[in-house]
Amino acid sequence: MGTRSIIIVLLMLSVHGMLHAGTVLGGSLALRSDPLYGMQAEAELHVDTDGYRLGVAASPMTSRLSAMYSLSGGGDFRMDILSSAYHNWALRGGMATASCSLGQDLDFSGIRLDYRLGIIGGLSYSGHVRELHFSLSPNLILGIGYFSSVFSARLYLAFEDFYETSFQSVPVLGLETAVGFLDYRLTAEGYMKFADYMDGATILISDLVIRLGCEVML
Amino acid sequence: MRRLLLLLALLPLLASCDFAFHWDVIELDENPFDPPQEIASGKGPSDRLSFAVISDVHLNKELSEEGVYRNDSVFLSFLETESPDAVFILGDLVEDGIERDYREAGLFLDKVRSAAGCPVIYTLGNHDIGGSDLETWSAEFGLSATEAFTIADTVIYKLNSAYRLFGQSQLSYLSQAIGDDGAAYHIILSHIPLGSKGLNQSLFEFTIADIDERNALLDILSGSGRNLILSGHVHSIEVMNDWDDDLKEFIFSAYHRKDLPFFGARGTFYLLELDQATGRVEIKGYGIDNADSAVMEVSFTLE
Repeated sequence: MGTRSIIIVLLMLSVHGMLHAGTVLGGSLALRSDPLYGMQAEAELHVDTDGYRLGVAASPMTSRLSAMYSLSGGGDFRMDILSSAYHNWALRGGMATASCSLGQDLDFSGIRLDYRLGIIGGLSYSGHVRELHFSLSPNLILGIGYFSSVFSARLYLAFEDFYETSFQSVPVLGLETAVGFLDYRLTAEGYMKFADYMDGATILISDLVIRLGCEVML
Repeated sequence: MRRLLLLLALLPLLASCDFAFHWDVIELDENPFDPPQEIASGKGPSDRLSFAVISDVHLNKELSEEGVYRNDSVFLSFLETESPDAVFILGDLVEDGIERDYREAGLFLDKVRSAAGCPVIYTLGNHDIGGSDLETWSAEFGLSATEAFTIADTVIYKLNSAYRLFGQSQLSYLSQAIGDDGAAYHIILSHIPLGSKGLNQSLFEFTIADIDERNALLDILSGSGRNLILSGHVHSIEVMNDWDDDLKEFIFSAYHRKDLPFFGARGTFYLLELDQATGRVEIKGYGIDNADSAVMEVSFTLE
């Protein structure tokens, strides 16, 4: 059931990409250290066009769908609207979230600072119980990076990943890099999520993800 | 440029912290729930059980924060009068988890044991090891962070949620123990709640941090008798999570009183009664200055 849905979404994304000039089609493979199941491989595919990004990711037990709309508000200002759904087939549970954030991308001769501030809300569920939990949380992303036509690297700290049962964001620290060629680029990203970050001297990392990908300009 | 400097200033902060993967922290070599310790009781499978419950005592918090207040004498007299089957401490007994706090906690536990005359089940909270570590806490109190107890037809499971995660091995052993125990009722003690329905939280840490871990625990409990989860951590208000007919979670407010808008606490201790014949649960909360009448009451049935 889950695999069939994912294949259908992938086909729709591919057709959507073929029909629009300037569309970027990307895919990646990730190693994800899941707190419950240890290391898992995850495949991801996304398509970017006209400020929209649609993505789908799947591992042996989980599926993720995401849709993002990024709007330029003139000058450096931007608004991002993101919705995503996550389901764990083994546990029969997951969550659906939506966020809206405003911010700026500030360029200083190749050095780019970016920030987003907004709100994220979501609904978490389990197939084993009848109660749903709705939650809402502030959403903050801070990034610094170097961007050129052939190479980019960005370090970010985000309080945005709604990996939570109630009213709360979990901080994520990540590094993303890309090397660009004529009509494609190679990407590499690594990030970690913190589960426990306010008490004591030890910061607890719940997830570590390393992702390698490729994006093709159609 | 100022923004750049601000961001760069965050890097030494991060560099000064220790990082650990959560599976390095919660590793269990053998099933800590097997066998469950028996709580001596003359009660049978159909009898009414009673438990005194406190959470988030935060001993010595008054040394570093204003407006924090405790009055142990009322609670201790209450224990002498009620003679519960067990006392549950739902974590964060101390404020900083340092030697000074542990000495205070030892004295507090002695007084509670003496007044109640029954087992005191001390669940690990995030503050209990905030200034030390799990090994130091275990050695100090002679306790394991994960234990099981049996009384009449009920098994009580004490979980380690101090890191806001249960971890694979703890959940795996819990699943095995619950599958084998054959009990009609399970009481799960977890300092961190599974879900707190969004009350006074935002960027702070209030529930189990991983949606899969929460759902894994719900999966284990689903269809295995009647289940009651008791948790704390929230301080300011009681919350009921009505997960299902046979699965409820009650989140207890803090034992210490703190006078502060929004993040304050009333200062409450509780008596929880479980009627094993009917599944009826009654919880009454009493103010730390006066146990003559309840300041809150809630009752529900585990179907």
